Amino acid sequence: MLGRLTLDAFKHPAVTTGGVVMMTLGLIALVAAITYFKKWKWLWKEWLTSTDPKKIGVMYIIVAFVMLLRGISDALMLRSQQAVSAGSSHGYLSSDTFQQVFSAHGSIMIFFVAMGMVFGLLNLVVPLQIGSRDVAFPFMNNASFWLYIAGMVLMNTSLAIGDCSGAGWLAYPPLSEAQYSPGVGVDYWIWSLQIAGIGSLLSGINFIVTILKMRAPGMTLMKMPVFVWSVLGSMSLVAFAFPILTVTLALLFLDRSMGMHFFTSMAGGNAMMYVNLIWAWGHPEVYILILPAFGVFSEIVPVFSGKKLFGYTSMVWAIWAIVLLSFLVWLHHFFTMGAGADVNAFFGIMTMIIAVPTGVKVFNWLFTMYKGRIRFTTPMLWFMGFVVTFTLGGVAGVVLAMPPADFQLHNSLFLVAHFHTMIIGGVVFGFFAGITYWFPKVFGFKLNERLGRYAFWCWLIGFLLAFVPLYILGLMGATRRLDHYDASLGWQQLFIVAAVGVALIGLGVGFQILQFVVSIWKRKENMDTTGDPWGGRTLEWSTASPAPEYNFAVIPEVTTRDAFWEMKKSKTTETAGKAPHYEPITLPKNTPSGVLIGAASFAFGFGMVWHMWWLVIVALLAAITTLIIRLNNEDTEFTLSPAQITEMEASTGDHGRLYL
Amino acid sequence: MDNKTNMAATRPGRNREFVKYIVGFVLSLALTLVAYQVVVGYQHGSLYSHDTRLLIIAALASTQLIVQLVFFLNVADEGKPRWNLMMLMFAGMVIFILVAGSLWIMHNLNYNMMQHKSTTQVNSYLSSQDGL
Amino acid sequence: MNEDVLAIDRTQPEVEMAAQKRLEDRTMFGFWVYIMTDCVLFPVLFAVFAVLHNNTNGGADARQLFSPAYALVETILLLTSSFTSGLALLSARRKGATFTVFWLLVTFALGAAFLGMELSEFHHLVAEGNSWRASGFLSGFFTLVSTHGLHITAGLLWIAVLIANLAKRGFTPSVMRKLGLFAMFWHFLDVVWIFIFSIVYLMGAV
Repeated sequence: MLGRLTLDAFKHPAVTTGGVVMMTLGLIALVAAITYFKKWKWLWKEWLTSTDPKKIGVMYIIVAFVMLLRGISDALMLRSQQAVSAGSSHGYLSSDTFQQVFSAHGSIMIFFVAMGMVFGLLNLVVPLQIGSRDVAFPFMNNASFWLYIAGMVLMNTSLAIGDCSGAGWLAYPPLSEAQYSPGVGVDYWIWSLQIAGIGSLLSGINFIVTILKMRAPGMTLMKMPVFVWSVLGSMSLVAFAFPILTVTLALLFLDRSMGMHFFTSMAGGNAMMYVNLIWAWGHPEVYILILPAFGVFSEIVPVFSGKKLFGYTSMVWAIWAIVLLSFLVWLHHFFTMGAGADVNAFFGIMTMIIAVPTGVKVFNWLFTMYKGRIRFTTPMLWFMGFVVTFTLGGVAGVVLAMPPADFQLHNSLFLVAHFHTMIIGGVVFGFFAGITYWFPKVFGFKLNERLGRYAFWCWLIGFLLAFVPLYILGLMGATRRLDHYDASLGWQQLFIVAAVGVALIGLGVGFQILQFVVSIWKRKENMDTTGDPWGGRTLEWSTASPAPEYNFAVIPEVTTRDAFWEMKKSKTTETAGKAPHYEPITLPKNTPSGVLIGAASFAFGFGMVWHMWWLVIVALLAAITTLIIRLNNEDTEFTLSPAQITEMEASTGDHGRLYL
Repeated sequence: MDNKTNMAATRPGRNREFVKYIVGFVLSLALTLVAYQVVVGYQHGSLYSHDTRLLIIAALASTQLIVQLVFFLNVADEGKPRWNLMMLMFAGMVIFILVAGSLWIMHNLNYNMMQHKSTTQVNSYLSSQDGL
Repeated sequence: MNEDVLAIDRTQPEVEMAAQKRLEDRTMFGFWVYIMTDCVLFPVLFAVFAVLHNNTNGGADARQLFSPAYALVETILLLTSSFTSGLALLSARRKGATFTVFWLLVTFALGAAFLGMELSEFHHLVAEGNSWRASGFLSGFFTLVSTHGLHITAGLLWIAVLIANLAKRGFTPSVMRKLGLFAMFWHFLDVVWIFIFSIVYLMGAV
């Protein structure tokens, strides 16, 4: 009945128990608060079942931020362990726990923080920027979110019930095979990622169709904002790379649960095939993360330089060059696995080439700034931080791209520093910039600038303190994932500096939390009354803040790039006194089906992990039934009459509301 | 699938669609049978080498792919902009890179790392090292 | 471009029809993109099969285990069902309810027969000790072919739902749209099978 689930699953070492207790207390506090304020019905109706991409986007970002806290706690544990665990001291984490912590850290940061931020931002911004009311498939959008949640819950459940995987964020066999990881950790990892991955794939399809088919009249492809181009590129990568992950995870699970021999060390398996496949997905994945961040900068730099983006066409070409090339470099993640000189040479050269379009983009942003009137708002600060850090990390990447150099540096801390620089300096800084920039559009008021600046400086200096020592340590020969090292190596001081750096980043996160709290508390002082708080150039700024449910009462007609900027210049935005003519607007209704499918997916995953086959079957049937019922439901839309629209347009001045 | 609506009740040229399906079906059947014959009708010492026959099978399969794309899935009938076709080309490119790349890489890795041993030899070597 | 999301009065029939047309266009395209993702999924399984096809672990290889003749019958069944699914769609466009259901049932029968043959082949292999546990080669074979078989099963379920829908609602735009999507899906499954037949069964026997 309970498969292989026993009471043992609830027994954990002290550190893990601490984590479980904190998580559980947090959950209880949340549930208690919602109950106390009697907000369950509101939550269900306004948020959980919503098909409005703006609401879905907010939910993604909130969850991603909570997962960021978990990921940073993991990082703090790792750094503090390494700072003290030299020579005779062995720190406070057992080797087993240490492995689970770094595996969880990586998996959570990539799949639930970074991907969550990507999809959150896309949902918030893309429909508005293309002058649309919604995405192409609103129900699927909702379902994608709940699949992401199911995966996230499954990943966090592994902490409390059973084990986390200790096989790294990519679970290489043979370690991840049943023979060497007989527990449930790797199974949790597999199903958590598989379920979230399907959500991502569906979102990829959704946004491709949205961008290609739902742009405002007159918005040809070459008139789209560069952010939208970068999303199209990123989503194309999602659509064509995630199937590889789906297959690879499935094959690993088949090995573990059905005795197959894809990657086993015996009976004809080939573990190297796993590494090949997982990185054939993994490399496009990192470009999936970075392209939207680049897109964010392409929006922010022109606005805060008061100049149009330099080199629009080359930006678009650079995006597609990156998309194509990202499928041609994956072997650089395993130069040392033994493929031979000609294979390594090909992939090494392709890797160096892919740095070029990225360089083109950075130069274009800098040329945009040149002779502009720069305003150093928080979003612009994040951009400047990006330029410094990403360039550093990118150069390190070119070093790693050379196979001979990589033979020394592979799996050293130099590598770790490189990819953290890319992800923190690139993806994370980009998303913080984007969230700060678009926050007023979503909520109707700006975030507190001063606290934003404090957060930025803590993050930037903290980041440099945390990772520059790692570059040095890597060059000194320090391997990654070490929970203890010899005191005579002389590494400890650098590890201590790194730990201080992470603590400073933690302080930065604290400032960000404070920023949200203070901004909400003092929102009336920072209200965006015009819908255009920054002097924006693109369509999303032409509608009120917060944007109404239907985005635009009248879909704009576009004639140029930077459509809104041109509208402002020629003053063709709607002028007061002229009563606008509204037609009825049809929007998708809310739906509980996404929540149900998410819940069924979680149950499915849990059943697969614990071999509770009855649960697997029941959950699968529930999901399929829900889907069939939903897909045959013909009553999925509602219409707003012109009178209702007039009323809603008049009331959009009510900015203190905050959706409450 | 073509982008013409499914909703049109009667349209001129609907017989054309029927003919397309027939032609597609017959061509696919023919290509299948020829490929089958290449394998099953093979006599030892006949003209075609092992590799040539593999190539012929691959070519016949690829031809049938195109036949079915054109006659069943109507990829050629798409009006501009040809998004379906572009997606197909993109997919084709990714497939080529993935499959050719993986085969090249794995071939290299197997050659360098498996030292030409048979699976039974590898198995017994690994068993003997177990516990180290 | 995008007139569909313009605020338009959908109570007027020609406006409603235009909106349905654009919805159909979006939906067909979206489903095509999904098919393209499946077009990446299957080649990965093919690549895995190719890499592992010599890893027989001392057991039987493709030539000994697979019968091209048997697979030929399966191929003809599936190809014919792909053809009849197209006939079903054509019948639907002419609003011939009886013929549409007839051709859908034929498609179902042929697909089910295909699946039956495949399961029988699996049973035979397992009974003789050539299961997916025996070697990397067989793991690859069973997974590749079963993934296709699972898609076929989903397609059969879809036919049942389609027939039920048709019976209940007639040829609404929504039902027509779903028929079009199904036909696309079913044709694509036959395309994948061409490659399974060629690479696994034919090349295996060469």
